[in-house]
This record gives sequence, C-alpha cells and structure tokens, in this order.
Amino acid sequence: MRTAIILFLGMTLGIVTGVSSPYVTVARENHANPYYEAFMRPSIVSVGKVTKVEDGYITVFFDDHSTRLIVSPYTKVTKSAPIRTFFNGTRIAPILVPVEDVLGKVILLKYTEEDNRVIAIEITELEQKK
Amino acid sequence: MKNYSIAINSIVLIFSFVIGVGAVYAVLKPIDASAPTLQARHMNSIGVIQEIQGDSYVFEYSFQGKKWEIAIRVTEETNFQTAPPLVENGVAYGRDFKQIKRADVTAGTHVVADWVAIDGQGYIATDITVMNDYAAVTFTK
Repeated sequence: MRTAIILFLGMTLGIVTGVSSPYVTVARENHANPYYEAFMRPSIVSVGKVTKVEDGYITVFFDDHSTRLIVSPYTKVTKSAPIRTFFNGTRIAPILVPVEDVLGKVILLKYTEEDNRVIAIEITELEQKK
Repeated sequence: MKNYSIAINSIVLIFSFVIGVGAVYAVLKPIDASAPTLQARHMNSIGVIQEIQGDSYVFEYSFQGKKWEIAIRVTEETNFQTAPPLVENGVAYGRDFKQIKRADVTAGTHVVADWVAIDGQGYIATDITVMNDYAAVTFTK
C-alpha cells in the first residue's frame, strides 16, 4: 500500500515538474497553434496593401494581383512608431496591434503557402517616405 | 530491514518521477518543442541601407510608385558579417561568412538584415550580412 502511494506521488511530481518546465511550455504553445506546421515551413516576404479584413482572413493586393490569406491568432501584426521620432535618443518601439488596424495600409508580409491555402505569419506596417 | 525499505521506496519514488516526466514529454512531442518559439520568428529586409540614425538602419521599399520605409534597430548582440561567394572555375558553391565591425556597414551598403519584431522593444536586427561582394557567377544546385 505504501509503495503504491509513493509510486503515485512520484508520478504526480514528475508530471507537475514536466508540465511546468519552460521546454514543455513552448511545446504546448506550439501545439495550441493549428497552423504550427505551416509556420515552420519556408516562407516568403513581400510588400503589399491590405484591401480587406474579414473574420479570419485578409486580402492583400500585390503589384499585379490580390491574394486572400488566413490570419490566425498567432499571426503577429505590428505597427511602427514614426521612423524619425526619437525619445531620449531611442526610437519609439513598434507595438502589436489587431489586424483591423492595418486595413488600407502598405505592409511587409511574411507568408507561407500550402496545398490549398495561404497563411499570413507576420504583418509589419510600413511608413510612407516623406 | 528499515534501511532496506527506505532504499526500495526511494528507488520507487525516483522511478515513478522519471515515468511522470517522461509521460509529459512523450505526449507533447519534444521535437516540436525544440523548434523556435512562435514569438521569435524572423523577418528579413534585403536592400540598400538608406540611412543610419543612431541604432536605426532605414530600409526602403517601392510599391505603387511610392517609397515606403522601415527602421531596423541594431543592438550589442547584432552580428555583422560579410558573405563573399566561394568561387571555383567561375561557379559559386557557397559563401564564406566573416565577422566584421559595425562601423564597416555604412549607409549605401547592400545588405540582408534578419530581424525580429519584439513588442515594446522594436524591430531588432539579429544579423546584418553585407552582400556587396558578389560576382557574376552561377550557383550550383
């Protein structure tokens, strides 16, 4: 009986230790992303303009065509502070924004293609040169 | 007898602890955990550095007849390097990466900048590779 309790206690401690390790935290984060494998595929970086934002999708116009891409909750969208604006000698940092904030904006887009879908991995708003 | 019992129980405890940790790792496929975290995906900017303002290196893109910019910030950890092609009989078969100093990279230099966007910190350059030393060669497969 005592051996069984020790066995149970040891396994419980092992599971708690395993789940709380940073290594496993990363694995859990990756597994939570349904597009994880697509995110690990080779990707393309292009410049385009966001013309439409729908639920879970964006449409981006490139120089000669438009593409509809999946936007997952794991797609990172950032908006830069004005490039030549400094605070105490340090440039103000970009911030994460919802995808709706880049509607109508020219962006640097990192994406990957699979058999029947295009997935946006990262979206960075560009600033027009003055 | 008591010492014997303590030893047995200790072994059982360690054994079951290892099984517990192993079970977690087996379920979560450690190979996936070794991949880069989703928060540290790299972007890259390829082109000529338009200007340098302090730690900010400005890159320019053309789209619909207008110019668009992004500023990438270098830090103490940014790796500056050159990558002249290794050529044999007029055919490049690779690149020879060599460390250079930050001062060697000036505005007007053609580079590949690898960077990550970090909320509240900026677009941080991890590598800046000078690509000026190219030659008219064909890359082998």
